[in-house]
Amino acid sequence: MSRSGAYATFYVDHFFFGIPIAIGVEVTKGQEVTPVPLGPKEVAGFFNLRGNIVTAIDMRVRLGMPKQSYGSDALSIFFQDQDHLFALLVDQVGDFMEVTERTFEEAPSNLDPNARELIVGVHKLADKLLLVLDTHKIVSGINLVQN
Amino acid sequence: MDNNDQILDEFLIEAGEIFDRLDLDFVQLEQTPDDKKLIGNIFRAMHTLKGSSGFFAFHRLEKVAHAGESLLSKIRDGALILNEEMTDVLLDTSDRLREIIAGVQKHRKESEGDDTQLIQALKFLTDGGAGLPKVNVPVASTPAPAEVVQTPAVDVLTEGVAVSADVQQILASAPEGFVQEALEVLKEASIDAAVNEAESSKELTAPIKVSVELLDKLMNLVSEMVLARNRLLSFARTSGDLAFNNTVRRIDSVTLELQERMMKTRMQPISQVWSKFPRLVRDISQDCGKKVELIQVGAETELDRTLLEGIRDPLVHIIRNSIDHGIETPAERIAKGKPEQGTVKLRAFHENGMVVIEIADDGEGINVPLVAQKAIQMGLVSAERAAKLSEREIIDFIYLPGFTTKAQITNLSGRGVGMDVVRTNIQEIGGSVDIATSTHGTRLRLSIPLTLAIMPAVFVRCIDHSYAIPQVNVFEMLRYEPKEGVPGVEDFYGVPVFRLRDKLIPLVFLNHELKLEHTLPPLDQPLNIVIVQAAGIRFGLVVDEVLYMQEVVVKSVGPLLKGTPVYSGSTILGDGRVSLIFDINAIAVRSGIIAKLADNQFEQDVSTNLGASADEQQMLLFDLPGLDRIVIPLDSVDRLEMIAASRIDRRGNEAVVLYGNKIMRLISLAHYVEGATRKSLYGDETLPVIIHYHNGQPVGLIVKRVHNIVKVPTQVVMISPPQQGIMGSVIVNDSVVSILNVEEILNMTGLGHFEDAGLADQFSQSDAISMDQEL
Repeated sequence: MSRSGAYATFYVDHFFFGIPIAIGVEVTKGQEVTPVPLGPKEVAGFFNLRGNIVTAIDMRVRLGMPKQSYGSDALSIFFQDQDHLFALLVDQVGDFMEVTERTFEEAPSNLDPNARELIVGVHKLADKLLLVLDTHKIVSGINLVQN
Repeated sequence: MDNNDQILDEFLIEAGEIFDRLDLDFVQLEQTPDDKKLIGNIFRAMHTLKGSSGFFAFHRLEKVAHAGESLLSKIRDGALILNEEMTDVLLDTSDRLREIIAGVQKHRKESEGDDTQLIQALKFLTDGGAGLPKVNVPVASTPAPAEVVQTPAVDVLTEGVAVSADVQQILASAPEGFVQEALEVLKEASIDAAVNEAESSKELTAPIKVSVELLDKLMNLVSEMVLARNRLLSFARTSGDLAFNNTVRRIDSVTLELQERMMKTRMQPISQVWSKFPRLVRDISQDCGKKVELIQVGAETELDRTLLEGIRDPLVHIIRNSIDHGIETPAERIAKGKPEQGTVKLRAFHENGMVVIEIADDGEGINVPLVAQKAIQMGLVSAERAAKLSEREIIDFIYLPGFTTKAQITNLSGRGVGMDVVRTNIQEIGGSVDIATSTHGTRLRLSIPLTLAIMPAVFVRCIDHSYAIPQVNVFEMLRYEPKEGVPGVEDFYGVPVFRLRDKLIPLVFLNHELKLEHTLPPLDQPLNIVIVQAAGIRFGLVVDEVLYMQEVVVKSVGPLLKGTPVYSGSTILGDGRVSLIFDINAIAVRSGIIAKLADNQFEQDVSTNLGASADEQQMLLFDLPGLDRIVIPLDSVDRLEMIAASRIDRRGNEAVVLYGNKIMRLISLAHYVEGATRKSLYGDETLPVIIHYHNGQPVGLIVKRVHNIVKVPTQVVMISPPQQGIMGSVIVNDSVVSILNVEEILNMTGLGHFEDAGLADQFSQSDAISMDQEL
């Protein structure tokens, strides 16, 4: 996972996250998500993006935060992992942002192990911290058999 | 470097094609050993391989191909006659080459290996030797065998043998370099001439190669376009702009054609799988000491390429079973008065929108008493029960995992991993297996959908989302309304069951099963039940509402649902939303239906397998306004649909509706059947419609209410004077029902006239009024 370059940013709760644009990111709004009964709790459901089936991941659940109903106003950030399209349902979408390695720092050692799995490190911005997420881990770390 | 890689890839693909061709040709050659054209083909194939491997400096490949080529050239020139021994060695050669190529594919370079023995064997045969020792080639018969593979000079010596003994002598005495060069040039020139000649006679319409990803991408775009078209059509309906409407209509027809053509690109002839079978049959029959001929009919039948992969293993398994278990040894066959050589016949054809593959052998058939005996031994059934089972029910035992009648385990079969895997694999791709057997042979019939990408599905509602159930799993749909004194849903010690025509059908409440609701609803309220079948067991899915049927384009659900097997896929609806498709087998397993009722399996399944008996016919019971209890032969019913009256359009004085991609004519049956009350079509209600395919076109028959399927005696009580639209009446369960005369109705509506005389003849001859459904 690169430490510099362009990031797509978003908020979940009061945290500010970023994922690298290099993996192909797109932002949309107002998708009607079809829920998946019996599916993993992190999977909010599926929707259709130009004829492709997209798996929507509820970032609040994925990050272990209290669930919140997104409704049809859900904002999603798309990316592709292996051959499938995923979307992260987030609270608020930020700007695309260019950062350099100079501001990067590894995650502190006392970070919660669950978070450590997902958060690669942090960029110290002037006014806040940009937490860098590993998109592949977001997908692959989900426990598939939950029932 | 990249460029080289690309060339190598092309070479590997080409080599793969060559090997497939070689296997076929060799086996064919054994049957017609003097077919010069065939030998020429094989020879050229070897030569091409040799030439290309020289280019990449694959020395092992080159040497093996070269030695093979030498033997082949002698056979081609008529100096040697091909015998079984030669075929064996040549097949070994082909296998070895394939192995080397596989190694190259993996490691991007040739792997190490010793081919000395094979090359010596080839050389021995090239020299006119016979009776090749199985293990070791005698050292004395080949000059300097140890050096053959090592120095190029001796290699040419080997080649000399192939050309003529005289040349070999000259070679030994002449200046080595010169002769070698001259000889090489001479030979290559003559071969190239042969190759050129063969290639120039080929047809020029060479197909091009397109990557599968590109096709999939295009397919996706087409599906997307179909959805966009649907939205456009709804605008056109409300618009009064003529030019706009015309444009939309044009887009509509172009999209339709595009979709059809695109689907065709996914279709591949079944010969792609079958081409490996002649070799397989040859090898297996040799191992078993049997003589078997393979006949293939309908190899050009097309099937979706994803399905081709799915049928390969089951077919291999079935063929193996046929040869190993079915066909007798030559001595036994002669004793029984059968021809010494057994046959396995593969036949593929289209039927009712399915591809049917039949595998028939003329062997001894399945020993039904032995199967029953084994089943009793394995504790699958009691002796008393077994005595009562029909032959078909006993044959069903062979589908159970671990079931085998073979006392001895051979390396081919008898390990009991057999028919259960075949059936599971075929069911996974939405197909079914049927066995017929007698002492004259066994016939397996696989019915497989044309394509997995598009399938008909029944949409149901649970709470506020719709889900699709594959139509192959659906038997019937019914609404249960509790009535005083009529037993309906009952409690079978914790399992809710439903009495359907005197049979207990277990019920699964979908909302509860999907954990959408945590309590079971009370049993004394109306229920919508979809009767489905999974792994031979029928059960009822209770849903909130049965919505409609539709052809859906199946898409993957992606990696995150791997642990949630209740869904087999997803589909995009007309409004752009995603709907999940159930895997009925997985739901049955999850709800415990399969484990709970496994002992009962054979009782559950009987009627579906047998269908109606010979003097009964299955018919669909329905009502018309003012006229109850009418039946239509099930053969004439393709589907049932609920169509909202608001969707109905008018074309001239006909009522039509857009059905899938076709415009479907709607016929209000009440207008044509004597005794029914005519009623205006339009309201804001939803109309039950019986879909009937007529010359490949859907026709919708509007009725008041559809009940269920009944078995009707074929003896019809005629009415005199005849009544319009009614063929006659019969007694079912002590009440009179009228049989609809589909032919007469179609004639009255102007649909019964045929342009095609052949079809008309066929039609008027069949009194049961069944028509081919061309999908």
